[in-house]
Amino acid sequence: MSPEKRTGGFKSFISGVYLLAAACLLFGVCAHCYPDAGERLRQAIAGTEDSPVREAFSVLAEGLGESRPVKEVLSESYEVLVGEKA
Amino acid sequence: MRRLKITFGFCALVCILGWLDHVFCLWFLLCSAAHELGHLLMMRLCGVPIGSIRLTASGAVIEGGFSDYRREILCAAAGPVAGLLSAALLIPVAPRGAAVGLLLSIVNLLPLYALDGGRILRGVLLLCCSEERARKTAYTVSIAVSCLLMLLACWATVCLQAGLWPIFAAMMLLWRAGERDQ
Repeated sequence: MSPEKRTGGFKSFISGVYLLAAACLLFGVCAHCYPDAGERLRQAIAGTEDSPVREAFSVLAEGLGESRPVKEVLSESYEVLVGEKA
Repeated sequence: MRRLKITFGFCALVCILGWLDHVFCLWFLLCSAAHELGHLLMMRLCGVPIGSIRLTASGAVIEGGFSDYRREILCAAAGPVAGLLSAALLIPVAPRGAAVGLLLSIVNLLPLYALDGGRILRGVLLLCCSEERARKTAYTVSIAVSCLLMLLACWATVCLQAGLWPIFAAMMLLWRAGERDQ
């Protein structure tokens, strides 16, 4: 690779890092100044803490941690997901 | 020549995942790394030349010069196998990480072209049928499965209060499934 290409690639990388840092800084400031909006946005994207999806994932993780058969754990997790099991 | 390219989309995805749940993000990255290492190891063992490795928002893309379909099937299957092995190793120490690895491997085995399952399906079809028929069948299956996933994502968002991430993920898979085989 020629020195010009290496320099150009490095400059692009630095530009990308600056852009990402600026975006993170902007987002961080907005989240700090408007914490309620940040929390609502987080819930809109990731869902509520007590959603069946998160509960099903917790059931899956707990079942695996108890060394139960994977098929049984997946089945139980699915039942929690569709609401057949509380 | 091996080159690692990290796209802005990948960095943005990591930042967003980290903001949403940093523990989940960490396990997702570790399990994904184990998955891709499985691919790379099998490609090395099969003597497949490795081109560039691109980390994008829709996943990692490893460009390799496959000379036959059997090697492509083996290399595609190696990722989910490595993911399942890493999940099994994580069970006693980090069940949550094991769950992430398990789900990642299961999703990767879906018959969508961009995912390993789709590549395996395409490889098997190419071994059995003509090239045109195999590619057409694999493409049709990919589109059908990705549309079904989109419906499931909408159901999860509306009925299960899962948030918008299932729809974003389904959109990404639908977009990748629509990429024609080059």
